[in-house]
Amino acid sequence: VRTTRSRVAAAWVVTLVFVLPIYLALSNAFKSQDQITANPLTPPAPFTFDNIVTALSRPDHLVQSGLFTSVLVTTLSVGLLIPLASALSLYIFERTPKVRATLLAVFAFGLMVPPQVVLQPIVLLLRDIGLANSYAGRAIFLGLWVWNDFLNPLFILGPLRGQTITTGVYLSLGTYSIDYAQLFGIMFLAAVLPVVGYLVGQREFIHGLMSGAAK
Amino acid sequence: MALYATFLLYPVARSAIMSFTNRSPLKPTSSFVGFANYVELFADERLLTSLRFTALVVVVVTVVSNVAGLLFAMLLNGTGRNLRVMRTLVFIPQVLSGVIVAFVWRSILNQNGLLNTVLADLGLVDDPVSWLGSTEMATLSICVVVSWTTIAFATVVYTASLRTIPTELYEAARVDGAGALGRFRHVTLPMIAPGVTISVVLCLITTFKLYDVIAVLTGGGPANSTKSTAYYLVTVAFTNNRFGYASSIAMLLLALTAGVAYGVTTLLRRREAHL
Repeated sequence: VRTTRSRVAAAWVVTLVFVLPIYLALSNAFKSQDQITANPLTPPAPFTFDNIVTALSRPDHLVQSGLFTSVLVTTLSVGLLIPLASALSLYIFERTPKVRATLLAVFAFGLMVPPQVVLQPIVLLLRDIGLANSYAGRAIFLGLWVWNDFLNPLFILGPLRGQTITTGVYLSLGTYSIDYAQLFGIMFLAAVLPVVGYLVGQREFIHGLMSGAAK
Repeated sequence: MALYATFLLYPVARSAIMSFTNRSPLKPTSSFVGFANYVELFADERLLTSLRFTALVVVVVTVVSNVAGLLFAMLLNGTGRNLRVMRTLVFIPQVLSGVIVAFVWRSILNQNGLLNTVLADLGLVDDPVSWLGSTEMATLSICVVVSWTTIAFATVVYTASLRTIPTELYEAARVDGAGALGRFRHVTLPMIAPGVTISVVLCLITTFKLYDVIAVLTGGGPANSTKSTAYYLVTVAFTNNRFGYASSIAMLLLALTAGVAYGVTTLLRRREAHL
């Protein structure tokens, strides 16, 4: 496909408008509250790390403990998921077309189950075996929800114990939403790891997604 | 497979059984109530409202994100450093968690949020616009926010699909005298049909499950008008403590999602074969 200069320019305009919210979140994480309310669009000058420092020095250690839980859960679940998923896809691939179609339909069904549907039975199941609100209970589900999952940690781990960073963001920011400096500071810390991970691994990532989607 | 059975099939089955009981976390015992929960579904005005809202968001988001995603992918298709950087940027919303996305947008859409600040600075509005305050505006805002992430996803799928089209096909079509529109209709569309299926169905499924954006942006308000069915279900289960009834809503939501998803898949697959 031939790319003309004007098309590249048009593409940039559309792309920049599209990612404007990300720019806002990123730049405002390094501005003071006054700067944010006065000029939300300007770049962070003078540059301040106050929001990040404030977020990190909260007395409840929300960001640190949240990040720790998130990293732990993500590492374990990815460690568990990848071998399992590869074994499973190999298994599925080796079946006859008919069995393969059935198995794929069953797993596609799994994709459709809203987390809310399995949430209650899982909360009950955990309660029955005495694992609700515990790391052990959490550890059991590693295969199912990873970093960004929000609802399950919220209800299964209960407020403020071993919460993941996403849940922490929700629980702590629900109350004071006007303090943008604080909000952007915490959000920056919560989002920086997955985004950096994505940017570093994006070649592999998009490649994998593409070969998957192209089937 | 055992994991899958334990944490997916078992809960679904248990939820199905629970939907015939009056189970509540506050009571030690529960008893079977037959189809009472399902009968109640039909008379539940709030459920109906949530279903209508969910259906609206699902349709709008699926259409918008797939049309925009395809156009975006065509715009960004090609070689060169610029386009590659843009493709990377565009996919970021999909990497962020729904909660983060919702908080970013909340700071934009708030009464004294960034959007209103900018609009006031430019002199475009006199009073701050209440982007989340009225039913119509809140619904529109939610559609925009959800579409923002699904557009990112659709763009990647379509970028991948466009890559699979051999350039010879376009050249052949050009030789046959096809214009840009003709090439799009007779080469691009048929060739990306599998991508369309994947993108549309996954958009449908994601939006049916919509919860976190609502929890952060509107909390279901104003006046319950933006409660998605998934959000309503969680309210019934954990605020009203009615696990039994919530399970019947869960079953309904699951049946609807699965029904629509399988229906659309079959339809699109058949279309793939025809093209």
